[in-house]
Amino acid sequence: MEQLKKVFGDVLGVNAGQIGPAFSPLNCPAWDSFHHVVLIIALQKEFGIKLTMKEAMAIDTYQTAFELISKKTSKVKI
Amino acid sequence: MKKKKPKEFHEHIKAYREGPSKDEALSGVKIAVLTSFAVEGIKEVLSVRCWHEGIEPEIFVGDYNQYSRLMLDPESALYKFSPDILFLFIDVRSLWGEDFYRPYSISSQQRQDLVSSQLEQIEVLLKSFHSNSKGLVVIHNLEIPGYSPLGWAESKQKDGFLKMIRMFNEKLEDIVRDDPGSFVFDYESFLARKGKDFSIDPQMYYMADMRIAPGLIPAMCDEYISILKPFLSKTRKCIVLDLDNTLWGGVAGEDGMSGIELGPTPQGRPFWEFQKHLLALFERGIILAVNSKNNLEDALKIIQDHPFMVLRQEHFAAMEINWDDKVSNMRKIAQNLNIGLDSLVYFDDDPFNREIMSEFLPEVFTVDLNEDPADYVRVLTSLKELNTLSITDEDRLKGRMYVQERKRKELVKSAGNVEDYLRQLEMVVSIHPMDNFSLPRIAQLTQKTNQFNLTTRRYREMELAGLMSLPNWRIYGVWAKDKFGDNGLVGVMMCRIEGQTWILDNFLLSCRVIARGVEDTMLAFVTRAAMEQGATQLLGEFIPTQKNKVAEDFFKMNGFSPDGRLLLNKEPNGAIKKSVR
Repeated sequence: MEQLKKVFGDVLGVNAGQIGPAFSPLNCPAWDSFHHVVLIIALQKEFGIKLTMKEAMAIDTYQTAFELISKKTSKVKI
Repeated sequence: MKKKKPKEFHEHIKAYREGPSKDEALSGVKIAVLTSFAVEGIKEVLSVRCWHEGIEPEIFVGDYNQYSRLMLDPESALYKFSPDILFLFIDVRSLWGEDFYRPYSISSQQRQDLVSSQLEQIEVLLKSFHSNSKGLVVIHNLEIPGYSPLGWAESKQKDGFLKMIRMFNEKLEDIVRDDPGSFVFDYESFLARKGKDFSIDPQMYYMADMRIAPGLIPAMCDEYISILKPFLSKTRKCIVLDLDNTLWGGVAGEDGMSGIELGPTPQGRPFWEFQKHLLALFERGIILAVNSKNNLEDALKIIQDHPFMVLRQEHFAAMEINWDDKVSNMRKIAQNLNIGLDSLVYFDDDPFNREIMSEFLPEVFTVDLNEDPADYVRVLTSLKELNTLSITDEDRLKGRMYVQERKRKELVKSAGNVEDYLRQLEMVVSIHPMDNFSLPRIAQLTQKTNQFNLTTRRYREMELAGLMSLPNWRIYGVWAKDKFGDNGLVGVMMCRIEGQTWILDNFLLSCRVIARGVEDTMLAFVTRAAMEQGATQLLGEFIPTQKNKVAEDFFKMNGFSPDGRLLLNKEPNGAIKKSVR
């Protein structure tokens, strides 16, 4: 959990405390199409996983990212 | 405390937001990046990596695929930005369009024509850029795809797809070869080194149209920086070497001549080949020096007599072989060679020595050497600190010249007084108007000379070419040689004529030959030339900088008035001592 919030915070320039399940491009103006790409790159690198394009495009809130990463990384603690 | 340099693409985004460390003095440069696709992130990555090299860039990134318009329109945002350097990154897919996917849907003639028109377009763009900007342009060559629809039969195809792209790359080099304002970035070989199978990340390519894998962008920016550095005169010119376990395996004092590892054996070859690569660098003008804790006799015996030593005493411009600490030795080397600590690269196998050096002399570039000597050559050949934008004849001889300089210093010690020394040197000075052959070196001297430089006005090759054609400018190169060797082109005088006044816009002499009477000969020459061409006065200006104190009183001592005038009815105080040709 902490690691995922840190990735979001580092990429989007927000405080990890501000990030909740509903955190999304709608309430985070920094989360534009470019930062979405950076986020995908960062998630893959930091968690050592590979997302398909469909999965990458489907991330639209912190919650969807959390569920996806949890599913992909049964071994990795987030 | 210096920040850690990020490695991964995404880490730069945060570092960019945080900005450069406040305690670093950065030199500014305006960089434009134009691409045939979307390279988002390059601004952030390039900025962060520049900050780590002491460079503060202002970066202009052209809009998606607007490079032609931006380069052709004199009123464009690109020219308003006025870049010092432009990186032009055209992707092979953009350039070939639909024919990239189906190169054999067109005839071999059509492929030929396509490449010719691509090259013509590039030439037009470069020409337009140079007539609208004083900046440099660096153009990527094309990635040669690792795939052809013909498979193995590709090589049997007349004017095949891959061959055409190779031809484009060759012709591109022909276009820039004689253009001092343009360079090719060998993107193809950059990708080959990094692994071409992964040159794009398909997911990012489709999602964001990124035509280079994001993971490669930091390395690509480092390549950009390796051309920015010489552009900003941040290039290094001297390699300082440890001896034991760096130039040979083992310890001279313990293993002795017959015990050290050097030569055609598995243990000796890494050192042997390391030395061969160092010799090649010496031959292109890099200065070599030794900084070693050793008994001088033991070390010299190996350097002089070991059958597989490639580097001998004649290749080292300075040798500090003693039991003093290496930091003091390093300072002594810089002092002896009269170059800055920021010109030095240091190789030492001992991590402790390296740490001390980085701690006490951070200006020296201490190479992070792997403990395995088998890795030395790879580290040396991937060094980016030694790049220069062009290599003049003087550069090639530089390593040798510094060795001659060491011999001159030995003469000073034996000569006793200055006059004797100068006489024994047998110095010959010759002065000629600048021509196309001397122009690159003259530009280089205006950019690199700091000490005996009265005005420190810097000129690029293109600017000098412009001045050369003006009737009211006289630009002279000064050559010097003595009995120890030829120093080549070492001085520059640039005069702007206004009516009957000659204004010394530039008057400089390389630090290698200061205080050997050359500067007096130069002034005598220009005085006589001005008089012969009808001038009545010479204006000499001294613009102080942090480094040119040595030249402060030059005009004053030679009869110029306090406001910098010399009336031309008499010879200057330092009358012509030597024959001027």
